[in-house]
Amino acid sequence: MEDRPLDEAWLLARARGGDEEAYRQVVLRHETIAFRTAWLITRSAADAEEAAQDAFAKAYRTLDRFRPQAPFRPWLLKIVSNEARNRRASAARHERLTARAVEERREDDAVPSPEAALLDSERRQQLLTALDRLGDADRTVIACRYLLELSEAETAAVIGKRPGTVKSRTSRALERLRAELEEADA
Amino acid sequence: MPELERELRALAAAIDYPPTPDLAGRLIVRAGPARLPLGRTLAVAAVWLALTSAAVLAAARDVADSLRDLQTVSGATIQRVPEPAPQATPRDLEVGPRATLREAAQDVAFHPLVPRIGGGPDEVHVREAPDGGEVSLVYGPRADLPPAITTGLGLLVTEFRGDLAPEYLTKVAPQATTVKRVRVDGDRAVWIAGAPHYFIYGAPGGRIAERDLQVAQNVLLIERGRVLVRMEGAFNRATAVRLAGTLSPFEL
Repeated sequence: MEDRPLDEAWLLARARGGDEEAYRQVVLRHETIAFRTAWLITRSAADAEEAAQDAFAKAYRTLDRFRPQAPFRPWLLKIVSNEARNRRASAARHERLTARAVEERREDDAVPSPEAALLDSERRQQLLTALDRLGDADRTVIACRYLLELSEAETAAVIGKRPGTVKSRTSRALERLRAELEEADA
Repeated sequence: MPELERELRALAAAIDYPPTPDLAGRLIVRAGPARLPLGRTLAVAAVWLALTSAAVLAAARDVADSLRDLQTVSGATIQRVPEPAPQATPRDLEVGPRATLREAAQDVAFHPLVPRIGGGPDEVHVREAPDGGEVSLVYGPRADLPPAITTGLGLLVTEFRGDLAPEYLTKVAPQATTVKRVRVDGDRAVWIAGAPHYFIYGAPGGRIAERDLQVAQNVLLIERGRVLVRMEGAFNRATAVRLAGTLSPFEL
């Protein structure tokens, strides 16, 4: 795994030269995070698929503008989030955040977290309901940092803000989430 | 780590995301050079032929010019068709019922983009067609937005999406039209000046559809994701590009 950054840089260099197969390998590495990011913004599987697909196509066409020494994922996620925002469905058609039992994990999920088992189903539902009640901006920053586990730089790219503001925005969003949870408890 | 953050990290493992589609498998078609697939090429060719009279076809030099002028812009094919522009006449705008910006944003399947113009749009209209809806922002004349000959409007912004064929946009412009590729914040765009009166684009469902322009003077056409924004008016290119650079999503 340690040579992955070099490997990706090589693939991207090949892709920049027009090697579609090399770019396909890059897409394989990032398609899940791209799709999930798009879905958390659009809350529509169909729109998220379109957004992610178009983002990869747009990234390919504009690879000459990507700085080779820079990390690829924040750059890609910025394009993904822009495409997703243009497709965000009306609130009435939003697919809801749901959780499944821990043992129902799918093959394409990330490494299972032992913490997942510690969260009972009732508390999971409370968190999901409270998240759904948040405004788009708060929900997105929390989703980026905790559900997608993006870095601050990647989160900044998705929300379209400077990396220096991610901490404070996350903090404010968590406060509002706490308030929602307390209100629900009350 | 505070309890809530620990719980959110635990929740991450349990979120029931929709299955990730096979994006890599479809990449070759989607990411390749912008080129119309055969079916659409034939459809566009049929429209092109229908629009081109026998007399015009006989003018070999014009036809050769028109073929040379075939340009591709971000999947948008611009064809100069040797057909004289009809005399524009004033007519009512076909923009659907009036609404507030908030209502319009709720009714369409995308986030409307709004240019930064003092005071906002004078009128907002929304309609269901085409698929995904269409939002129109109407601006009266202002200092840098002279009135259009046909409607008296300073600017008409119309936005809609082509769900399944967004990357192929074909516009047919009259022979006298100037067509220029421009960039707006990295997004490719097309400036067409000189009374274009209709265009052809890839509509939802893979159809090729024809749409009238409302103002029939100058138009800046921008693709933002799958939202097609057209800005029509009597203004110049610099103004159009400047205004397009201020487009930002309207947040509910």
